Amino acid sequence: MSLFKARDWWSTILGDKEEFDQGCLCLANVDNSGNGQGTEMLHLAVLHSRKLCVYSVSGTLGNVEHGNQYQMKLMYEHNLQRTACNMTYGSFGGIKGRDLICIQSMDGMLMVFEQESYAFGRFLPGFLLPGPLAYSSRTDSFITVSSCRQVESYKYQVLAFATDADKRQETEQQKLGSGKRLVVDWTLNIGEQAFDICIVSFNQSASSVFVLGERNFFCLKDNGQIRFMKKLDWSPSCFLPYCSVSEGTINTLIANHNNMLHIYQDVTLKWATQLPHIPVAVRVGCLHDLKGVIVTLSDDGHLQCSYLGTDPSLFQAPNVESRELNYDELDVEMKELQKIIKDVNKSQGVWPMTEREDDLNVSVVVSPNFDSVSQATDVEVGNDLVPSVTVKVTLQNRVILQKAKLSVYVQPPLELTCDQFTFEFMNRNPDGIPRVIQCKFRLPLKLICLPGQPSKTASHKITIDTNKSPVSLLSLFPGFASQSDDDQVNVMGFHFLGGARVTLLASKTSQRYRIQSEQFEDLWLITNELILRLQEYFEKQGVKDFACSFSGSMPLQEYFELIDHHFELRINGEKLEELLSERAVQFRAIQRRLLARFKDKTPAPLQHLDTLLDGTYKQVIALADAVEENQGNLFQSFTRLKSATHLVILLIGLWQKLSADQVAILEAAFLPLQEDTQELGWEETVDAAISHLLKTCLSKSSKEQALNLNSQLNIPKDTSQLKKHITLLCDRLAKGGRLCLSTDAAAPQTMVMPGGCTTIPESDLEERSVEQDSTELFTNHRHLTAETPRPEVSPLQGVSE
Amino acid sequence: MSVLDALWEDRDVRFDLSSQQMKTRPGEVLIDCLDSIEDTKGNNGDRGRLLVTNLRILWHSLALSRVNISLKKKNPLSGQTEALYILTKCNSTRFEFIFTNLVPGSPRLFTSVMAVHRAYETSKMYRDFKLRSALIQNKQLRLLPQEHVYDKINGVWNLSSDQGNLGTFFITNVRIVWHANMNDSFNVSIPYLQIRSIKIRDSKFGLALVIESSQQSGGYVLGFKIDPVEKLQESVKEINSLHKVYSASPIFGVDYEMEEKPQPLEALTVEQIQDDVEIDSDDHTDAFVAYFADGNKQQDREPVFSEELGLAIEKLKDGFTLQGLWEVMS
Repeated sequence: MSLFKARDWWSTILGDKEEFDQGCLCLANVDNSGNGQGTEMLHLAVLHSRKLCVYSVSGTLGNVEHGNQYQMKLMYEHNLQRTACNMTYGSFGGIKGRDLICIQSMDGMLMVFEQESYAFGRFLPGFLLPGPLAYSSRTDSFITVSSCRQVESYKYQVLAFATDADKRQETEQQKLGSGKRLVVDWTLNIGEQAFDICIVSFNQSASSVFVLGERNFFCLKDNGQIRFMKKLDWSPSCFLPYCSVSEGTINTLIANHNNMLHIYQDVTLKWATQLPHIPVAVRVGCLHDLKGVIVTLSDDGHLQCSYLGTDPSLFQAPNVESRELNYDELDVEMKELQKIIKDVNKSQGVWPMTEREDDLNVSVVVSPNFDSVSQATDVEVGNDLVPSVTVKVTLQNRVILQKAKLSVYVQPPLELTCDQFTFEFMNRNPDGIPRVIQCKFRLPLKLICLPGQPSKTASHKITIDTNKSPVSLLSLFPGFASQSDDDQVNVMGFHFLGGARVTLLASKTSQRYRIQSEQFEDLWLITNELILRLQEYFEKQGVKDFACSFSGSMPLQEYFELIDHHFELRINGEKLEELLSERAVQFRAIQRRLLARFKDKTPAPLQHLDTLLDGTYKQVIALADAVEENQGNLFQSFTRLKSATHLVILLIGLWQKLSADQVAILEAAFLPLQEDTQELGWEETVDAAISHLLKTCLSKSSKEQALNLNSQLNIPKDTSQLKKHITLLCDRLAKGGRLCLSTDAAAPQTMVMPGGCTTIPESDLEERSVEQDSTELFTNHRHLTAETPRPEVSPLQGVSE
Repeated sequence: MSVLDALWEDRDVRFDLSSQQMKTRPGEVLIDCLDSIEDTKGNNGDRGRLLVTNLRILWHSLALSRVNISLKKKNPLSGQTEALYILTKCNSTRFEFIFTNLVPGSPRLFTSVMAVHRAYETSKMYRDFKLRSALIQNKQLRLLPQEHVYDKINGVWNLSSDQGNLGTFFITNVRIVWHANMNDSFNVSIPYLQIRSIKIRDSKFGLALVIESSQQSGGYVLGFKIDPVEKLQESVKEINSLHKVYSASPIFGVDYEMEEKPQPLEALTVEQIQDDVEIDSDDHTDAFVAYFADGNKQQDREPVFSEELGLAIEKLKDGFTLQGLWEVMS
């Protein structure tokens, strides 16, 4: 708010209960005093809602001392067929020596009047509501701001030559608009409605189109290009570009709804002054030999001529509240606020990052023996009995909590008898923020795997190198010793429930282990188990520098086959669903026809519609069955794919010796948390995540880092793109690329990847030993693998939270 | 001899009024009374009462009954939610007043002030001497809402020019209007409020009715000739008696109906008059200084054209530049 005020030079109040708006103020030497001669005389045009009147105004010196007398003489008038909105004038078409008038009607017709005669009317295309209208003599065009929120320019010539499509109806010229489509000369989208348009040119400088929008003030060139724009911090009410004080710049007055008048030189604020009212129109003129008088008109008819005051007014009304202080109340409020601040500080922000661990403990004990009677829903798979194991979850809380919810999750194909428990009246939450505590545990390998006959040959083999001498497989997998004769057993067979067989071979001479199987994906569980058990084994021995590695080529081909199979099933599912919906439509159509027949008072023969209905019904049922079957297959295929993915990640990690952080990033990319559905499946999610990795931390040049984000993930046409990206990812990693998601130079753009928001389990392996003998709790953001003391634990992980 | 005390209530800004001046004059009606109002500019911190009449706004302190202000209702007001800002100009001195409602969020805002001011502004024809305005339509006087024509006299000569102008008189309960028969827009409207004297005097045209307007309306002396003399005397008598009736109960034309009258107004008025009995009249301090609209100055400096802005500005004090001022302020 400026400290300067406008000085009242002369003011008056106009009208009686009338309202004024822009267009109600015109400042000119209308009585042509001083110069008036010939035809160049100024006249006064007044636009009424249904009439245009043109007057000549003349003054005669009064023969009495009481002042001059003015007379308005009506020169001509036009009755309008349409309600007028605003008007502009100028020498349209470059006509010399006289001005034409163009009126915009409320329904978007531009009506041109050539003195006493009506020239033509044209509808503006795409019109909704009238905007401001101005005429640019330099380009001979009309400029308006349409309801599309764009500045539009129409050439007068184009307007004039746009002819009526239907001349027959043109009995009354004025009633009809044009038929031919008007072509706009140029448009400029300003994205807001405009209050006013002014076209000015001072000192022979190029003419500029000024547009006052609701929040911005634009200066455009003749061709619609923006010369400059100024964002306004307040809501403007009217404006006027009034002169150019220095070459190349234009001064503009902009008034606003805070009773302020701002004076800009182009976009620089030069002065601001306070007005006694909110002007709806502003003009600058020379009155009584005083140049530069600001004339403002408010909507209730206050007309003021003012000049800019140059004495600041330093008085500022103090705030009422600050004077009438109730100290007791303030004290109470202060204490309350301080308490809140203290509480927030205590809990470290809104989301409590550090839990008080004693509030709630979750511990899990996996029973060492299987249930004597299996609790599994499908007791048999093939020839094998499905065992079950009891997991005991213990919740310990020190404070009263409400609505504690325990959910247990295991990876398919494992199943739970109950996965949700809710304990009312247990949990008290002072902040109202739900808190999550997670605890991971491992299930015995035996749950899904039995000792089996080793086989010498297999189609898929993986060799894992270590840096320590080989360990007896019996000591690694004590429960799986089928042949108890030799404790230097170097071959061991595993037999999964459902039939798949995996053979583990330990080299007698080198430090290698080989895992082989008929199915690529089956390799993962045993490989992972082997590595974990080896690590545990050496840890117990006190060996610190044990490491595994993988040197063979990445088995991507086998992996891709699984991807293809999964994808094929997805496509198949889509096709089946489409067919099903088609048949369903057909079924309903037949039903409708049949119903019409049956309703008919004179029954017509059914013409085998019933047979058709029956046939369609059978088709629908068959298709539904097929969809269901496909869904089952898809689920199975996805489980296999996940196993294979785990294996690939494991191998990449070993192959490139990636840190736990980097493996976690890979897992986040390859194993998105969301479910695999028809609409959003694994392929596109993973492809997006991998492309992101390739574009950020694995990019070769900064050029590649330009993110072109596809906001929508759609099912791809085929899997070639995904395969290409996975291959590329392996290549880049092989060439030394490293995964990193931090915002340093390597990866300037971070974004949340699909599935990338999982918290990253850090250094599981180091911290595990700490809680060796007690299955311990885990707070959120820290996933520790809890272990039962038994050695037979398998990597089948469950999570309870 | 003037029948009516010169009307100052709506023309002047006065401070430290006497109890007599605080009283409503005939025709002046108390419209609204707002309590817990602070005169933020001049008496910051004091609770007071704001009274709104059809002619002026009065504020007086509850604690210090000596402090009071009477405002003419002449200038634009701008009301905000809780503060009333009034800018007035009186004899080329600008005063600024800020009244604040001390009860935050009070529903009783200054709406009545705004509305009454509007009514005041739009009824100036009742009170102002007007030359050449749009008075006549189709040879008939455009009547004001509470106005009744008592007499219409044809053949009245206006003696302002050498040859005189033949016209018509309208005599109403509010004013006297004359217009030339040849030209409607050559007219004059003289409210009784602005009439200083009505006499019959001799002129170069013979006996004439002479109406002298009040000083504040410009002190015009208007001569009218009505023939024959009997008619002239009859008319003067009529005008005089109407003037007297008007003076006893003037019609100011400011009509405003409060939807609900919260308190009996008379009681309030009486009460504060009693408060006001002891006035130390010597103590005429410069109370008005606190209310100067800006810069503690009584008058604005004259306007000059500024090449720098391309606009008229108040002449700068010596040693100041426009840019310097602006940079300091912004």
